[in-house]
Amino acid sequence: VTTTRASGAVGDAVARVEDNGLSTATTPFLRDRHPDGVLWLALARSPVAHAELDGIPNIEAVRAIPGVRAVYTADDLPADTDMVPPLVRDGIPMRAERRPLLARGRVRFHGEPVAAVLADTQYAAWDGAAAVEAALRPLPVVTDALEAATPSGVLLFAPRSNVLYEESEGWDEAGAALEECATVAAREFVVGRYSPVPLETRGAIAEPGGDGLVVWCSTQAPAQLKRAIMASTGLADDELQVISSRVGGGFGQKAHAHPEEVLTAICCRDTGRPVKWLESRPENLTASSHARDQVIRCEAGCDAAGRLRVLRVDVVSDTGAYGVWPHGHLLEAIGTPTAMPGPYELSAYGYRVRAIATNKCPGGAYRGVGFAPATFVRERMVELLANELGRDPVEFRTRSCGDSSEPRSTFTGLELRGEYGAVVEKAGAALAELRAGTPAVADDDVRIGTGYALYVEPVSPGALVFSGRGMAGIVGYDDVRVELTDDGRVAVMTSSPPIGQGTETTFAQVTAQALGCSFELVRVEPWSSTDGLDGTGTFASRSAASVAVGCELAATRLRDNLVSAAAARLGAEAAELRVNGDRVEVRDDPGSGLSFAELAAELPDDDTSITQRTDPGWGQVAYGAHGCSVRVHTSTGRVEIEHYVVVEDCGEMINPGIVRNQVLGGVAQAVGMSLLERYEYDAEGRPRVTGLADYLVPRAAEAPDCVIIHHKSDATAGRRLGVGEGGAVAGSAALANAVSDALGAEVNSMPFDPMEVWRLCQR
Amino acid sequence: MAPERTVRFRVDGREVEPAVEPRMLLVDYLTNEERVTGVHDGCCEGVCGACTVWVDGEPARSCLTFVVQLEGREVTTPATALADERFAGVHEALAAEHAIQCGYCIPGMLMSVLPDLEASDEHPIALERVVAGNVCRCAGYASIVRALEAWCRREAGTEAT
Repeated sequence: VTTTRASGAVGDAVARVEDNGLSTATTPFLRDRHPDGVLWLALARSPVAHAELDGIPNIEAVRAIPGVRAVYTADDLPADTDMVPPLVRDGIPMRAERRPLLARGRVRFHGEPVAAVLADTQYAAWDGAAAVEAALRPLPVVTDALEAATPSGVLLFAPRSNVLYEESEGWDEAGAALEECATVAAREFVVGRYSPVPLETRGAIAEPGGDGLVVWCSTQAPAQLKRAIMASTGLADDELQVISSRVGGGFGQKAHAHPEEVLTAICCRDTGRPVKWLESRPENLTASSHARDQVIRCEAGCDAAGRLRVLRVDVVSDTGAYGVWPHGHLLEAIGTPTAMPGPYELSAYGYRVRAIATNKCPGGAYRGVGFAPATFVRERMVELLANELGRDPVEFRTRSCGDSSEPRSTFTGLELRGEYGAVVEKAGAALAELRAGTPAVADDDVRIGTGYALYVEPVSPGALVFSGRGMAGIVGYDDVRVELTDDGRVAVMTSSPPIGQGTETTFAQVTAQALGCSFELVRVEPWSSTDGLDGTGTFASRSAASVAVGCELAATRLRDNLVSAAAARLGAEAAELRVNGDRVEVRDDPGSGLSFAELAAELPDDDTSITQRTDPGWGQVAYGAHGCSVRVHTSTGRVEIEHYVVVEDCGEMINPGIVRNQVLGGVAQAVGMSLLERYEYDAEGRPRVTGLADYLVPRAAEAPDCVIIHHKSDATAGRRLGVGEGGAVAGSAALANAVSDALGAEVNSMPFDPMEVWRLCQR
Repeated sequence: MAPERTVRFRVDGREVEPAVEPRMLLVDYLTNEERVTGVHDGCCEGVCGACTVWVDGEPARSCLTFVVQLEGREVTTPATALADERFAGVHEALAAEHAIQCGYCIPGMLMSVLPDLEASDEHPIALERVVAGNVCRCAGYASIVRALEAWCRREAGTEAT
């Protein structure tokens, strides 16, 4: 059976089907869902970072506030509602601290919920939350991870240590290898704390329905949230359905199940009424989840031929007061050392890592988990070594990484296949060409610098990866359902909600192509429901590399069913038939055969509704290189991006227009992490950032337009590798290298905002 | 709780006369009482622009506007304003650039910039600066700017051939 290619085929930059509703403002988001009789939930949060909590003495006064219907504290929530990340490695439970939905006996970070208020209106709920006066006896606060690691200091989970996780691998071997190296460098790097800042804050609505509850949530991972709510409430599988609403950005933060979402479900079950919770921006910035916050000491060594051969890193990962569900405190702590070797052909690699609890907001996912800090550190070291050896940074990289047409494994188990040298050479050539056409700047205040970064981007981890890491609560597979509807159209439902990557379009493209039908016939549901579908969720760039594969497999099975049925009906051989438009027809006889609608009427449901599970196993590894030139204004510390080049190999592109904008957005977020976004706490653990006027995310004037070159290679031909995170992963390293080059100084901490750059200029 | 006050104004051409607390913000009123889509709270301090509507045809942050300020005024929400035929080309241009990602910022961004772009005599208009009043966290700014440029050129009849 062959199929015809229609517009909207894989590889076409077809316009996104979701765009019109979004740009005409008619697409509803979670805030636009208004169940009758709804109660609003608001949280009262701790105004201090660490304290003994002795109840809410004024709780009756809060209950008496007009419109307030109920006030919950930890006393109303038995211990089995606590969220405990299911961390198990090699069959052995790992340390995982309990997180009460509402603080029980102690608060551990500024903003931790101490009470939940239900009220008739949103404003009355806020009134109630604001009126709560918790009895708090302040304790000493620790906000520095290294200080928290000392045994004699402040303990969050006394008598247990604040060091939640510690691991070391190849340390001594790498140390011995460093001694053999011709050139060795060592530096300490600081990767700051960041907030993902989805523009739509978190939120959930729980409604009585079905045989229990239906929870609508702005989530990247509805099936995970369902598991979290089941674990905390005891609700059975068939008593709970979780549906992702339209998600206004996630960037990793909404890949977790959060206490407020579970509380929303509990309050609904308790009251029998719909409950709505919408997070405020200050809550999102101070009390949802943050990312990064690492201090990394790195040693690197080159052989006599001037190639990078050895890396050793000591990673200190500040995970804040609690782990997130279900990833625990392991996200960046495992991600960073795993990512550190990158594409380089090393003879030895060693690491030590510690995840340490402090009195700060819990650490969660943000675009490029582990890979962003690792790439920053490694590519800074690479540039430092190239400088020390007097080598061109592009040439130093090509000599050190080697191309792998055949797979090779890194020390941390990544299967590499790619033309690493070629992409960095292309980036170098493209940047040189742009620079050559740029007039010199006649301004003594301005210094120009160029910088590069080479990266790999492992995407779509499967069950093996998550279980190997100990993240036992993540299934690692993805379910999709492709269904022929009665009207002869094709419906696709996945367990991975769209969060901005245009998967309503790309999943339709791959489904249509595999089925052979026209693109317009396929509709991908704009949400994801746990009704009959399980899965991992939309994170770790798994949409193209895993979920789309499921769409294709299911569509192929559906096509086979349709062709077989048509062959039987027509008395023809299946090989004589093809799918065209919305028909199964005799080849070379358009309009013959049977329409999809006719087939839908004849076939049993089992043949027209195909559910497919895919597990991407070890996943895929995309890669690429960034190069940029900057103008540093030494009197102000302002960094202006002159040119920015991205060369990426994400394998086969489903929709090049969507790929392009994923890259652009990723680079812009790296610009934010590099030049703008600074999250700090004062000594008492109070966040210095509470709004978007303090936490500066990039705007149009700061986000560069990029020259984006899609590198085609034999190594990745015919495979789809995912492209959601690479832009964010490499940008900070390229920019830091460029600013370092401009100033002849070392930029070894992120962010390097104007104040930091100005300080460097004063040296 | 301060006593409620009755305010008469128009929303998308309809007369409304709600009794509201003085603290009632327009962003919450439009979403929860009028139940219109496209009025998106992003920061609630006037920084991100996602909640932008028109008051008497001028862009206004609905998170910084109290309903009690609106006596006799005309409020236009994104779903009504952006349905106007004269903006059909904007939607097409954004789609052609694949400029929209999650889309949460887009209604407010268009409500912020379109009046300026329509009124501007400046050619070419410095779009990075015009768009810089709004946050797009998916950060497809370069594509958004390119799409708006293309639309402006088309409107001005100076489309490159």
